[in-house]
Amino acid sequence: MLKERKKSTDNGKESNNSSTNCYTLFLNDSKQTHSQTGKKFPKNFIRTTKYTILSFIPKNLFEQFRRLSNFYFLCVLIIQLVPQISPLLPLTSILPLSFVLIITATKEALEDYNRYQSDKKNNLEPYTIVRDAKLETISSQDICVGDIIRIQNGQQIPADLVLISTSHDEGLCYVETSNLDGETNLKVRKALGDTNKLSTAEDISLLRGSIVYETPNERLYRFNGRIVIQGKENIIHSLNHTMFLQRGSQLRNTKFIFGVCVYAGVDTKLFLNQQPPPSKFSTVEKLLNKLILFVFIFQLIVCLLCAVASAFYQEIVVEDMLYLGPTVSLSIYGVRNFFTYFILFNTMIPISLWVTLEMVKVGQAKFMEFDSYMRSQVLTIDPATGEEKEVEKGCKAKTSNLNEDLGRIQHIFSDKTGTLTENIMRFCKCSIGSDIYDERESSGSLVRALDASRDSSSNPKILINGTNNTKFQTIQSFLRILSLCHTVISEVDEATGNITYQSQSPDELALVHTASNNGFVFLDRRTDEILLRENGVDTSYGLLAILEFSSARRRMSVIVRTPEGTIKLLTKGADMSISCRLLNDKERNAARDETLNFLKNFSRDGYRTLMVAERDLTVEEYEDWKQQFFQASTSIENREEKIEAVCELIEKDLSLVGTTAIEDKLQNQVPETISYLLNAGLHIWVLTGDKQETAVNIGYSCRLFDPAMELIFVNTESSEECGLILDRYIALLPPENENEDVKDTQTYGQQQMQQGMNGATPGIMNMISNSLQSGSGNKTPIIDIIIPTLAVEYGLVIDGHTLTFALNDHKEKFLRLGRACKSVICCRTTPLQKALVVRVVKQSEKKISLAIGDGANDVSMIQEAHVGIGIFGKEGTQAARASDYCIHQFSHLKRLLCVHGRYSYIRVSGLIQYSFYKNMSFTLCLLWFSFSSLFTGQTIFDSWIITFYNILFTSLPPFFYGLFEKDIDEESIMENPNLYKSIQQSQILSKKSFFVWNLLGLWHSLVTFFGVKLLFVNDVMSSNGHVAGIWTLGTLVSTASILTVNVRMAIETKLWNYISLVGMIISLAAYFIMLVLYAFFLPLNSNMYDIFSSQLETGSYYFTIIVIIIVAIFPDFCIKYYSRMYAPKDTQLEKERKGLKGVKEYQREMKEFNNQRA
Amino acid sequence: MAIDKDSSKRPANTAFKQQRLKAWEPILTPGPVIIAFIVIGIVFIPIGAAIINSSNKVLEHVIRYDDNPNCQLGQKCTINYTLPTEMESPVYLYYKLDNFYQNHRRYVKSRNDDQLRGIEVTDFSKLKDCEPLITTDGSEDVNKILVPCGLIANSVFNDSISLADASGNLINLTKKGIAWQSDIDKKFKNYPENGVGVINFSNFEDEDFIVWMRTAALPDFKKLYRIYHGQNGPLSGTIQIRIDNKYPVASFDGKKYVVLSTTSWIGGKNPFLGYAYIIVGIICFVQGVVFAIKHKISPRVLGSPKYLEWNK
Repeated sequence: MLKERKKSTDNGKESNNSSTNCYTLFLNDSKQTHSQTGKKFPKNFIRTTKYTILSFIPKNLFEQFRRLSNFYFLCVLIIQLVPQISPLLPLTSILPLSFVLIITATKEALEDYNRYQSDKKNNLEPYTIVRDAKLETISSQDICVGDIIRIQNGQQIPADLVLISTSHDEGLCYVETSNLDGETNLKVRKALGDTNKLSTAEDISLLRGSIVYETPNERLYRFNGRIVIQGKENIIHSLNHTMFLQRGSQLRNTKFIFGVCVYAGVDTKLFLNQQPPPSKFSTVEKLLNKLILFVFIFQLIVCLLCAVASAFYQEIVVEDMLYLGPTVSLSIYGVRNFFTYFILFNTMIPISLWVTLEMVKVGQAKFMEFDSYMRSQVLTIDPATGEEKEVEKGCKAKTSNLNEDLGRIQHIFSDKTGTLTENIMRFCKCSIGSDIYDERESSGSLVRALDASRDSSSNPKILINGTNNTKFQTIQSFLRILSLCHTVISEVDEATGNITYQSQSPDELALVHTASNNGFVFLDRRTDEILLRENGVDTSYGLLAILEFSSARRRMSVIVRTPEGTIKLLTKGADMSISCRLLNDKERNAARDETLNFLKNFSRDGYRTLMVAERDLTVEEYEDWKQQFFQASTSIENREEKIEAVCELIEKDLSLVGTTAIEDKLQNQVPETISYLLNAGLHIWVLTGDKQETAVNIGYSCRLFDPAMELIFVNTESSEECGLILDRYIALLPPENENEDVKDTQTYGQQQMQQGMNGATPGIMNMISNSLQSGSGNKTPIIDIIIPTLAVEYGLVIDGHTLTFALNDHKEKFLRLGRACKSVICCRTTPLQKALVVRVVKQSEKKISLAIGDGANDVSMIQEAHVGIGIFGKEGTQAARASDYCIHQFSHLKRLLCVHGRYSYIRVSGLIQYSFYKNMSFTLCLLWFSFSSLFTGQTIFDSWIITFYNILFTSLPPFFYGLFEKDIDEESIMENPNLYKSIQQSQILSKKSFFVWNLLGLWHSLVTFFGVKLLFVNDVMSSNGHVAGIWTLGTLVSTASILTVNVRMAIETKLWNYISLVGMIISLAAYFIMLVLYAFFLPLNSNMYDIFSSQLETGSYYFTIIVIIIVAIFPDFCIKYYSRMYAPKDTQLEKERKGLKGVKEYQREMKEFNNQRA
Repeated sequence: MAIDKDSSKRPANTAFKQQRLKAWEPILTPGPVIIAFIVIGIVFIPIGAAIINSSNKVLEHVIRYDDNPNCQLGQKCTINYTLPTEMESPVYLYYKLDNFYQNHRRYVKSRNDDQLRGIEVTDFSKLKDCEPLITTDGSEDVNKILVPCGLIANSVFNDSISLADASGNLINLTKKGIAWQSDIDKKFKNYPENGVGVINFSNFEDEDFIVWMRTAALPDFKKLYRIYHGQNGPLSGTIQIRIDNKYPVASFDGKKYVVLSTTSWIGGKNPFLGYAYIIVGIICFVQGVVFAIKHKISPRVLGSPKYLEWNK
């Protein structure tokens, strides 16, 4: 029982000294906690909505008008409200703009309402806190910093807490953090021994003291602080992430815990990490913005010319026309007419394009998610029962902004572990001393060797030699290290007694399982103790310290006290971080060299390798080191660096025990997928942290490298050397050929010759051997390779160390070499280097890049690439959360790019260009009419027709084109990678193609307007002698125009389903219904009354419309027919083969052709 | 925030969701394309010929009178015109104006349709369209509202035209039916004689007025003036055209004509539509033949793999 309750003077001083960059809270003293000057802690209230009820309308309108096209149409509307200027009713702008704004606002409102509901649920969740020596229930939003909260098993942690006590005697508790990082394995947290005794509200409310800790930051797995517990003596403990519980975690396998709130609401690490990934725009969308600008400039020029012409005619002609009334000032007249024409021609830019585009892209994304070929069985944990079960899940499109970029990818940057491989680590082999044990061939090989050694050692004669005894002990040490040196957590099924392991690291799981299979079973982990069952005997090891793994250290260690009382340091890690810390001993050097040789062989076979070592410590050594470790652990600033320095003091003079070889199995269909993508013309770069030998072998096994391919290795120790190596290789390369078609032809031809060479494969192996030999020497490795002159395809292998020089100092040379290589492997790369590679290549090559990965290490490169793909994997879903699209297997990438991406690009390109074409062909008719009406800005189209032209009469066909168009069927695409290559290289949407489409619009407007005008050479159009007027002319032009653009869409469409047909019928029917409605609603526009009925009775109208359509469509149709017949694309040929010859004959021909080609 | 929990139920693999709706994928092949072009040619040329033939049957005589020295502005005159052939009834008498821009934006909008339906409009905001001719003096005095208002109604063509035979006997011409029936029925009603404003003209149902109020599309236009229904047999021989020239057009280089015309099923005399059909028909036919020759000389085997890009 704590009797001393007075505040410590030292404590006060500490608070004052560190108040500038630290937070301080006082235990069970909310008044003092919240009355600190300069400190204001937020409540736990969370809001993720963008709007409130009051702010929705103004804020959403502001956001929508920040979009350039919407702002443009708003200006048009404002000008149109001036009667003297506007040639049309204001409704021609109000209705379409309202239509667009309402659709987007509705979408935003629905999204925000969902966020509101989610926030509300979170904020009102009830929780129990300790207040005035008893438990009290409050809402999550009312939790404050300093509150002590009781969490039940299964509850979510509502704020960031420091653990005070748990229901477990040792102060342990388990949390699941899948909401934070997607990892479903349990993580262990531990309360301080001094506070874990407090297990009731009464006990806890007596706790006095303070916690000083760092200010809020977004580092998810870091927490530094210090707790001072007041009592007879003040107790000081360091705080770190091992007793830190983040908001969003879930308590598991623990009855209850008490924790004190240190961050609440917007200060929590979950909230600080909630920022959405940076927005990305597709290259098509960027191009579209430029095209809109071009059209706008063209429109301004036309308006200016028309205004000048109007002033000219006013001066020359109109002055004498008394029937037109009094005249106004020329300059005023010209300026006013400029704005009149601005309104008249505003339909050059299709107002509904953005909305249609967004809806189309969302639909395309849905089709990706529906695709049954991109679904796979996935193990998942039911949150309610905790049971594992298999469900089928599909692709997830986090954005639809980048759909069409998927169709034109040219660079792929891929992670390896968990992305190309399954991230299921399997222990295959190990070497101990001079022996190799193959655990894959026969499980339990080690225990049998152990038994054999034990039997031999019992023989008195052999015991004298000591050889077998040494072997026995070495194997035992090896297995003991595997079972002790890890951070795995065990769970025991109380019903069956089975033990299951969980860990963040699949490697560690493999090691612990192997030890378990060989008699050394890891049972449990406690605060200062690890329980093993060694060959059936339960053994306890004192756990003195854990020196944690980090990507910089590349090793981890534990310090244990054996049952015999000795203190040992046990270590495992990457060979390059262990071998330089081994004890330098003449006798051991020989064994070490032999072991290193084994390790290199393992790498060459494609395994992941680790070194296992140990060291004995004296009590004095340990106690002395422990003091320094404690000081480093309790420091608040630069803690990580200090701990790392202290670890260096003791992780030295190690004795090598053995090495391990772990297989990381390739996912299904990975070689086929990579082969397809390479044949489709993509460059694939694999960025991995593995060793070079491991990476190269994976490269061969997944077909990233072909045996016929020449590999270029770049491994240097200095920047100057790197430059020299790059220069040498570049000199040997053929000159860069900008004509890709010619290059492809050469490639194909020489590939035939290359396949005839029999000496290719041995050459490659020789190079690898040379590389290994060079690597093992002391001298700096310089690879001198003679590249055969017939070789055409290259692969590049570069290590992370050299990559730093290449990216920083020799970027141009490196990129030049990279361009010449079909595939590249960067090994020993760090996550930062992965992102840097993507950024450098992306900026320099001006090509669309894609990054794909499955782990937290890949997040930065996924966000850096044009398109980021995440794979849901065993390392968690951080990559998936940061990505643009998520898939479950690497092989799904093929379908995502070559079917969905390709279709999206075709559809979006066609939609955009058609939309501008149809608006241009409609609007330019008004320009041609101006030549006949003194450039006064008179319209020939009724305002209602202009209003509905975009949003009704011509909107459905392009919309359905954007959703359903296919230029070739999916099976053909999946069989022919060249179909992706052709789409990637040809520019369906470019400035040139856009210009051609608008030229077509110009032609159609000329044919439409002047065709009708030709008819008006004689105003008499019917047999009753009646004369037609301006509105008859206009209606005839609009009818011809609408029919022509719909026929044009029909010609453009390559795939007709009933939805497309219905869409076209609805559009045309809507137009004619509109004309009929004029006859029933006289006030609609009396000018248009009876126009349609009079036209129906006039034979010349029908003949005029027919001939106009045919003249307009004729050139385009002929060009299309001729190009398809005599310069056919591969899609046309494939379609012909399937459509005309039948499936069986098609397959037979394909076989014959492939045989002939081979 | 909690991860969205994916539904464990898989979506139905409908044809729509898997993008496999039954579809038709047309393939352009030489046969149908060539046949289509030739058929269009074969069909269009006769249609064009028929249209030209019908157009040629229309008799049209255009007689300018404002440049006649005997028909100066303000004068009454008689022009003798000899018809080369008989004109079967009905014969339509039009006046034609040249270089008169009824399609000027200010002119087109300068009217008030409610007033033309006989409604006494006194709201000046509604009369704004009639600018610049709303009131007699530009003030906002309802008693000075022009009836009818606007530029169109105040620039009505007012020459009078009549026909007589060689003997000087007047030919009976009909005024009824020169305007669109829907205009007469729905859009024009007489203004009250005692209505508000300065009433220059209240007989809005006058068909000459209605014809003028339907603005022309182009600066050269015809307006239907009278109809001859043939009570005295076909027009033939020499006729006298009696004109009272009151409408000034000289200041803007305008021209005035009298037009006598018959009609056919395609309306007035206009051979251009027929020529268009013949030309298009010829072009399509020739294009079809060219495609056929090309296909005969150097055919491409449809679906042959040797044309594949990666096989070149």
